[in-house]
Order: sequence, then structure tokens, then C-alpha cells
Amino acid sequence: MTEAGRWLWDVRTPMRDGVALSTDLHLPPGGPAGGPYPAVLIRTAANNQAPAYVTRARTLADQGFAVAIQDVRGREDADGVFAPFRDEGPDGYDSVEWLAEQDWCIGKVGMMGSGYAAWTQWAAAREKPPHLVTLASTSVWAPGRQSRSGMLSLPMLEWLHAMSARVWQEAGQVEWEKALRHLPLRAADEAIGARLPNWHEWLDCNPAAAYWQHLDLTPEDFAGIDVPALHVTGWQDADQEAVLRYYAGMREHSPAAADQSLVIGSEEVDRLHREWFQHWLVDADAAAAPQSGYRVTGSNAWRDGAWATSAAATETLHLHSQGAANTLDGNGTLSAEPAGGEPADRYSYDPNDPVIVSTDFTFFPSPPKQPPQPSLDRRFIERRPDVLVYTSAGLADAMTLSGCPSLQLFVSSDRLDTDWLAQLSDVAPGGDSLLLATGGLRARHRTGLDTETFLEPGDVHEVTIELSGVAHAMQVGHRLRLSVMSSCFPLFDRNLNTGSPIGHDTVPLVAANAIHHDTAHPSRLTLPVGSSGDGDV
Amino acid sequence: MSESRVLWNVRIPMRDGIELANNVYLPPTGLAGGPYPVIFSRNPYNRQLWADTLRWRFFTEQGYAFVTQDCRGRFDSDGVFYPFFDDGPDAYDSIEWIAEQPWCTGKIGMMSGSYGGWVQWAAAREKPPHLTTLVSSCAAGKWGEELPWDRGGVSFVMFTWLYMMVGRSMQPTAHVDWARVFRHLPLRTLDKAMGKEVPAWQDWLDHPGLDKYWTAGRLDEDFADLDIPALHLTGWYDGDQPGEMFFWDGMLRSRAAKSQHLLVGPWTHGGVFKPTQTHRDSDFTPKSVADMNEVHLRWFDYWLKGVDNGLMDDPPVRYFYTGINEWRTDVTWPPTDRVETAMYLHSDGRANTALGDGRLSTELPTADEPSDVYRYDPEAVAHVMEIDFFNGEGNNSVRPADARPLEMRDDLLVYTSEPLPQALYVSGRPEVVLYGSSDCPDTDWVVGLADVGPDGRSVPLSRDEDHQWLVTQGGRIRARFREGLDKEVFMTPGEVYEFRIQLRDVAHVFKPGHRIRLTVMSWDFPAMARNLNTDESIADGTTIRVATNRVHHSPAAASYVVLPVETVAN
Repeated sequence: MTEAGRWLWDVRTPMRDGVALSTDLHLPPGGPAGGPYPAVLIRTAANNQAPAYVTRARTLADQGFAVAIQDVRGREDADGVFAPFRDEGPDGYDSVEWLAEQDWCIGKVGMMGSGYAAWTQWAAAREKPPHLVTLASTSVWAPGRQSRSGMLSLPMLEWLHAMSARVWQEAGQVEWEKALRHLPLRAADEAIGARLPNWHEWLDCNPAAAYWQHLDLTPEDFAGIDVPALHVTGWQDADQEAVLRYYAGMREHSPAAADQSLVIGSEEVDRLHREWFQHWLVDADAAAAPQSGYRVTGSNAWRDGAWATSAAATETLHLHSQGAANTLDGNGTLSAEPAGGEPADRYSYDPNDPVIVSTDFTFFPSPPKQPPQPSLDRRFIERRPDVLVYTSAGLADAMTLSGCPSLQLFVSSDRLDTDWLAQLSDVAPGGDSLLLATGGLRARHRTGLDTETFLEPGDVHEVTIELSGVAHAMQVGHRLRLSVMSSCFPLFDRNLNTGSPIGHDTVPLVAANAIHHDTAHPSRLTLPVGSSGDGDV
Repeated sequence: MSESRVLWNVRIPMRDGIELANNVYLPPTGLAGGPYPVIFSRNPYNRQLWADTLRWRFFTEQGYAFVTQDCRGRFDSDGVFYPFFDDGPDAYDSIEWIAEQPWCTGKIGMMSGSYGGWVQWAAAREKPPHLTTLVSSCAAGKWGEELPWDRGGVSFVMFTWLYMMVGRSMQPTAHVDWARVFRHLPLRTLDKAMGKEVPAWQDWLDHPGLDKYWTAGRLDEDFADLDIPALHLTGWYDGDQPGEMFFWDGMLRSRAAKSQHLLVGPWTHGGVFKPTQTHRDSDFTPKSVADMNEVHLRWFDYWLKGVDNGLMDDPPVRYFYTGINEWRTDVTWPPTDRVETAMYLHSDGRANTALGDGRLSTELPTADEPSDVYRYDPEAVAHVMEIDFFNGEGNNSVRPADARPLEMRDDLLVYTSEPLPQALYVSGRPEVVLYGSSDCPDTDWVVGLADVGPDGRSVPLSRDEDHQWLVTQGGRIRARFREGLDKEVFMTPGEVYEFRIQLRDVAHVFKPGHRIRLTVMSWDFPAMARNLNTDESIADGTTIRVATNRVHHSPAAASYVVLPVETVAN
């Protein structure tokens, strides 16, 4: 070994436009002279010296990989200006090729990382750097995560603040509840005391797909990405939808369709990464690549094979009540029989008193503090009068749900616009209401994100809400519960029920909202049913 | 207008166009309630989270606007960071910009410590018209005689600090294999061995003495013309105590000599920011824990708000006597009425280790006392390791104070007095005069004082946390700089030279039955780079020699330590 050790800091990495990014290198025990090695690249916006990264990098380095952790453009030690999502393609390409050229690199580069650092992988792969061999993408942040079904993600405002200068801006000094409740919402950055131009940009374009579409991956992009990829997500992962979409995109369009693995709910992500890179970067014959698989909640069983959004069979549960489904003590039920002549369920949604789903308003605390974990027992929500709760009878037989549930609702409001949010839970005999899946819809976007179709006050409209994925074993005696509400604060912005452009109003209106379930309005939940009785329960 | 009490990332332009990042923290009355007097803290350690910043709620609730700034090239500030020498102009420009803001009364005081103490003095030298007062904690700035060079020794603590500063944000020290790096030779390529080339390290190595590179950054010639009130805070265990005392001494020669106060507690470097009751396993009782918020507030209220709180009737100097755990006040420091008491070194030629025959007494040595000798092997001390200087959160409380494990090494000399018949109050600035010789052209002399209790426990009087387990720190000198830091003069092997070594300031009471101990050795690795005992360049030398070093105590070469003793009526 020369005088240089195994760890090389802040190695300046030039991009095509002359801007230098900052790369830390964690090499195998032989150091630079002991190579060449296969390389693994992590490109992060969150500080390439974060202990979690370094620990993981060094574990891989001990196993023979040269691990490069890079600050992306404009972050921490990298030069240039950070623009969320924008520059990661060319910068990723240049970084992969730079790594491949190093004396100590065999010319094979894999990428890994989660969240934004997963997005940087796909952005790079789209540019087709010749030496990029594989990806290991966890909980990918796709452009467009700023809004979901037309509702704006408020944690992304916090992220924008955290990212609003070169280093992480300390979240603990902001009164987040006050800032997130600030009206008009577009001036929330002033309430923070910062200038966040991206926030205004995102509000103004929301949810216009065009702004994000030119960044997000298209079928043509997937068709051009010819690398094996490990796709990792979890059942409560806020980015599950994007992971599934990218996996599906690769399966449908990529020349490497056969070499995609989808892993959901694994607790052995480190081992998966090691085996994945051993196979694709070192020796495909010596080590098998991890295959698709998923964890079934409820039974905790592990299933081999790719989980699918659509199910072999479905089962439909209809919403029922005597007109008072409000709260878990109300009379809302779910059953297979279609509704007859039943009164609608009504509630008043007041944006000044929204459903609050998190006791902690700081979603991006300064590392290494962890973001808040939501309570999975949803009774704290189900006790509110502005939440409608429909619960099935106890199951006589065990049932496995596998896929994405879908909700068909007949709704009305006295306002031009409002939100509808749903959550599905598993109610144990003791009363615990364990969250399984969520979904939502901003009424004005019910026919598409690129159009605004306001409600006719008082009219009944049929809307479809797709819920997130589940693989869950319902035990005998457990009940399924559907809860419907009109706010989910602070995960999403409050609909002020005015029908005005989002972000401009200062005075919210209270909405009188209703769910209809009768012969003409068969509100219902469609459940994907797996092959039950195959050992999960 | 913003309703927030925090204004994030406020950019202040410097004269050369570079922008520095600031957070502005406002009182509950917000922008509309201003203008306010401003407390300004600038540092290279993250304006959002540094120790001062965490006081923003306290000071803003007292009616101050609180501004924290990232130094040039650090965190969200533009430009390139270079240690120490850009801070004067940048601070000037920042202060004058702040003074023009509608939320500022035009009265600006600075606070902070360590590097953030240095920047205050760098600012004061530029004389920004709106800089009204300073509260300087454990400031660095006695370049060449403190850090990164301390009289010919280069600090590995400061090399570690350079590593932490090589990026814009702090680089975590836990990620480097320091044991390998600190053994690396030559020092010239230490940065490469650490994994990143550092221009400042090269510059430091090029200037081991006190030449223009360092003197240009020292305020020696500036003090007389300064006219700014300042409160000086330091601790007996503060590694930057020499720096703060340098500024204290200097300001006593300034036009604002009557507006200087000094507070010294039994605190470490970090303890000056947030005093703790204990240092290692020594307990200084709850009264040693000063409320630093109140200390600052009283000072700022007087100078920035004009509150008539009687501050100028306070005694200018307040210090804590260790040993008896009592606060004292005085009109100046070091005290002027102390009796300089020489304690001479004695032995029968075998003073090695605490079990040797080294003695200290007020008697002059006699002609028949043989010198003491030890073998200093730079390779051997390199296996004594306690590394990662900046990863020691909490170590302060877990390490024993007792230095006896060190004092059992054969490569150091230990001189101990008889048990004292009555308490001895030592307060001021001790000095060691050592007559030494070596069979090598260069070596280090490192000395320290300790209090030995009746149970044999040996507790050093000065030892900052950076020196961790190993060194009874008091003072040091590299032999080649004995005639001054401006010239290198090698020793003739075997010849006896006088070495005058200034120790850290102390205020300590040796209780009856306790003994005074002086240790002499030739290394303080890994806190400082090893002296390789050759006449090679410090930066580029790779040859290692084992030195046989002698300490003499004869009538012609009577080595001694001078203690400033307070006469106390018993």
C-alpha cells in the first residue's frame, strides 16, 4: 500500500460542465494499490458522511467492493446548485464513468441507495452509462411524490426547507405545526422564515403532470435501461407506489426484464444488497441473485415470487349503516350484500380542525434523528366524528388479502371541492385497528390529474379510490374496517373546500360531506383475495 | 413581513462578493417589534447547531436579536475556508451589514468560544464601528505558543481538527484509522495518509516557528490601540487557556484596560461553554457550575442595553481555587502580591517513575547530586495510543484524574515534595527552569505539575481533555527553539542548556499533607507529533533516533519550578 489508506475523503469528481462533486471512497483492505475492485456508488442529497452510509459502505468494502458515497450537486461538499431531481441524470452518468476509469476499479459499477438516493440511480440509468451494471433501489422517490391524487405532500415542504441551503437546515428550530397550518399555504415558507422557490413552483404546477412527466421515467426510458435491478419497498412505505411502478415498468419494457427482483417487507436488506452485488458485479455463477419475495403481514410468512397488485380473485364488501357511521362506535358495517334503502352518512369537515394523523410535525429531523413513525393502531382517528367507520363481522374463515384494494364511493358535498381519504384496517378481537392500506382523492381531480372537474354541490358523484398494496393474512374472528374522512393532516395539505386554486386561500370553508350507500349508489370495497388456506394462517 | 422568529440562511455579502450564511433569531415580538441590540456569533461549526446557537431562545427572550454565521467556506457560506486568517475582514463586513438592518439598534456584541473566540479578536482588530463589546470564551490566537504549534511541537489534535474541516460540513472523526495516520512519517504526507490533501497542513508545516505567517495573525502590536470592553472566560483545564490569557494580558495594555473582566473556573474547553461540576473523577461541587447564560446576559445588558446593573462595580477577576473549591476575586490577573517560591529538583540519580528518588524542595541542590537520565524512544511512545480526539463525548466524566499509571513509565522523571505541613495556595503563572542535555541535536521537554494526596493519588493541575489519559500537561518546548521561536539552534550532544518553560495558569491549594509533584518527559504523543530527536526538518524528517536525555540539578545547573504562592493567614 502507498501512503494513502483505505479511506479517501472528498475526492473531487468533475462533471461535464466543470462542476466538481465530492466523493468519499471506502476501499477494501488492500487500499488503492490492492485493486482493482468492483465499485458500488451511492449518490445522496443527505450528506455522504452520515454514519448509516459509512457503516454500510464499510461492510461492503470489507467484502471486496470499492464503495463511493457522493454528495450530489449543490449538497454539502459538492459544488454547484442543488435543484431537486433535475441534474441527477447527467451527473450520475459522469460519476459512474469516472468511477469505472479509476485504476482500482474493474470497470463494473453498481448503484445503491434509498429515497432520493434511489431516484439518482434511475436518473443515471436512463442516461445509459456504459459501465453501470446494476441497481439496488429502495423506496425510490419518483418525481411527483410532491403530490398524491392531487393532494400536496406537506412533509415535502419540510424537505424543501431542510434542503434550502447547502447543508441540512435544522428542523428543530421551526414551529412546524404553525408553518404547516399557515394560510395561504403558498406563503408557508415565510412562516418558516425561509425562501423556498421550489415550493411556489410545485404549488403552481400542482398536480400537473407535465412538470413532473419530463423528469419521471416513461415506458421508453424503461425500454432503454438494460440493467438488472433490485426493487425494495415495504407495506407502509410512502413510496410504495413508485417502487411498484418502476418494477412494473422494467418488467414490461426493459431488455433486462428477467433480471428484476421485487422485495417487500424484508428485514435483511443488507444481506440482499451484498448477495445482489456479489452476483451481478463479481461472479454470477458463484452467488445466486436474490429473487423476488414478500412478507405477509398478519402471519409474518415469507413468500417467494413477485407480489402482484392484481389478485386472482376479488371479494366485494358493501358499505352499510343506519345513517350514523361516524366513529368506531357508529353503526357502519361492511358486508357482501348490496345496500338497500339506507340513509347516507354525513359529517362536517372543518379544515380548521382536520384529522391529525401524526403527533410529531417534524418529518425531516436533522440526521441522525429518525422521522416519526405513525401509529399503526388507527383508533385514535376512528374516534373522531368527522370519520366514517364501516366494520365487517368477525371472519368465520381465515382470508389472505394480496394486491391493491379498490374503493368505489358515491359521495356528495355542499362544496365545489373537497378531499376523500380512506384507510383499511384489520380489527383484532381486542379492538386494535391495525392499518393495512391507505388511499385518497382530491375531488376536483377525480377524472384525472391534468383536469379540474368541480363538484356540483349536493349532487352524488361516483369516485374511485385506489388503495396501497397489501399482503395480509386475516385471522379468524378478525374484522375488516374501512374508514373514510376528508383530511389527513399533516401528511397532506388541507382542502379548504373553496374550489379556488390551491395555496391561495386564507379563509377555509366547512364542508358538509356525505357517503351514499343505497340501491342506486352501491358504495363498495373490492378486496384482492389471495389463495387462502395455503399455509399463511 | 415574516411572522417567523427565525430568518433562515440570510446572506451577507463580503467586500469581495462572497456571501456568508446567517440565521437571525428574533425576540417573540418579531421583526415588527425591533430594533434590538444584536448578539453575533460566527463559527466554522454550523451556525444552526453550535453551542451558542442553542442559547438563542434564552437571549431572544431577553430582548436581543441573535445572529449566527457560518464562516467563509463552511456549511452554507460561499468561498473557501482557510483557518484563522480570513475572519477579520469577514467579521467587519458582517457587523457593519447587521448594524444597517432595520431590526438592529446599531449596538452589536459578539460571543462564542474557541474558533468563535478567535474570530472576535480578528474582528476587533479591524475596528468595525458598530462592534460594541466581546464575550470571548477560550479563544485561540496565541499562534506558535498554543496551537497548532506549541513552541515547536505540532498538535495532532489540530491535525484532527483540520480533517474535520476538509469539507464544508464537519467530517466525523470516527471514520479515520488514526492509529495508522499518527504513526505515519514524514509529517509532510500525513494529510495524504489520512485520505485528503490539506493545503493548510502544508502551510503549517512550512512555519514551525513564529515567523510572519503567524505573527501577521497575532495581535501583539494591536492591543495598545484597541478600545473595546471584553469579558474573558476560560478554565484551568481548557486547552485554549493560553489563547484567552494572551487576549486578557493584551487587553490590559489596551485603551479599554479598565473594561476587561476575567472569569476562570475548573472547566475544560467544552466546560467553558457549559460548565460541569466534575472534571474526570474530580468533583468541584455545585458552586463551580456558573450559569453562563446569566454571565453573558449581565455583560450584554450593561454594554448593549445600557442597563445600570452595577457591572462595573464587580471585581474584574473571578477565579476558582481548586483543592478547596472556592471562588475568589481580585483586581487583576495574575495576582501581583504573590511570593515567587522556587522548588528545586533533587535526586540520587534515579528519579524515573513515581517510585524513584526524585524530590522537590526549597533547598538548593548540592554538588554531589547526580543528574537523572531517561531514554526517550519515539517508536516506543507511538504504541501508547488514545486517539480520536473529537469523539470523546462524555469521556470527561469517566476518565480517572489519577496520573500514576503514566508516572510508572521509565521514560519520565518524577520529583515530589515532602508532605506539606500547612496548606499552600498557588495562584498565578508557574514557570519551570530546566537544565537539560541530550545525546541528540534536538528533543522535546514536556513538564507538568500535580497534587499528590496522602493516599498517593496524583492529580495534574493542568490537563485538557485533548491530552486524554497520557500527559500531565503544563508546558513544553522543543530544544531547537530554546533561543526563541524565530530561530532553530540545535544542541551540541552532551552540553547542558537552560530551558525556560512557561506553564499554564493555575489556582490551586495543596492541602496539608499533600505533596507537590513535577514530571519531566520528552513526548506528549499522540496529542502532539513526536520529536524524532534529529536535526532534520520537522516536516520532512523520517529518521528516528532514540535520545538519552538528562535533567541536571547541581549548584551550577539547578533546575527548579517557580510557584506563585499566596500568603494566607492560617
